[in-house]
Amino acid sequence: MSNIKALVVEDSPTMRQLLLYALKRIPGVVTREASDGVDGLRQIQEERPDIILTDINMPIMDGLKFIEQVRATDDLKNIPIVVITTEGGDEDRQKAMDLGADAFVTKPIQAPAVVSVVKALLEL
Amino acid sequence: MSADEDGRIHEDLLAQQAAFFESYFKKGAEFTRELMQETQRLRTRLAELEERLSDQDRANELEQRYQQIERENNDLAALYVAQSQLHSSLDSAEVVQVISEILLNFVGADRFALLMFDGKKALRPLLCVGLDEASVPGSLLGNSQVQRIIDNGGFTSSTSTEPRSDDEPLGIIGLGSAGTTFGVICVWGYLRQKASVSELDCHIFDLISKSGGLALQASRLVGEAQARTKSKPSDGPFERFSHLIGK
Repeated sequence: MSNIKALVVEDSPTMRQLLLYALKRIPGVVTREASDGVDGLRQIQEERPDIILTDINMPIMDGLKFIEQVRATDDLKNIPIVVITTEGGDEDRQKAMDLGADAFVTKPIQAPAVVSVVKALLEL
Repeated sequence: MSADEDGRIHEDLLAQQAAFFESYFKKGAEFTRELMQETQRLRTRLAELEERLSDQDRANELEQRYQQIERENNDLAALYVAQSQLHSSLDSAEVVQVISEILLNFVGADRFALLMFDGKKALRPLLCVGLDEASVPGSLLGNSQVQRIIDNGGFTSSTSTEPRSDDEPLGIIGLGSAGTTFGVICVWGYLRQKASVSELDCHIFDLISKSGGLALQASRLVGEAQARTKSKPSDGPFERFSHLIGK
């Protein structure tokens, strides 16, 4: 099986580690991590991911701006994006979906929920 | 009718009777054979179904076991990440931040406060999430549950996530090290979608109580040591450690 490249964009190291562990439960997934949107875009330039998981509230460049930038780039338009949201973040979640996010996972993060959403989007 | 004719008719009747019985018994034997074949066929089919049912039971059992192992694996991963993050820093502010993130992102607590004893033995909020300091009940030390955790350490938690009408916390986590409790975390509310407090949540409370307390204590000691350190910027780890162990 060829590697599936997943990029996690999350400013909290604790959340990032949990998401990375969840993704590693999927055979063949290799992960990269970024601590904000700018770092995320830099990582994408280095290696095009097959799927992106991003938080919304981040310093420097937030998740909404990051999604907007990714979707504005022709060869990145079709990369599935999963947004990590909080329960109270209905408005941000809607904005993210309007900007082109494909799915969302709500905190507190349950690894099986992350695995399930990623597998569905990648049709694994 | 002559006696000869009578005899022929009698023999014919006997022959017909014999033929009838022969045919009857042949059919009976044939029917019995078919019944026996059918019985055997049904027995074989029954055995097959029983085996298949048994395989299905085994498959269901394995599926349940797999799900259980998956849950345990995910719980262990969450605990591993929480544990490693708690000890990822010796900076007090970062340790407090990690505890806060674990409670918010792993457990789903959204109204809580980390309180520590001040010099007058009063509990004072060091961190409040989802509530302001003024909302923290001043009478926490009079709360029997809080007092019990302060006396014995560990944690206590309600299984329900429904906020209580009184000031009683839903969860209380003692923070301490070496048998001394120097603070508590009180949880008053959880994210709306959280239905109940799970076994993993309790493991995380336990972890925060033990490792979180230790990490906070370690970060405080490091901070204080750094403030009065005798080492110079050019010192390496040897110089920095040697005076700590009296060399």
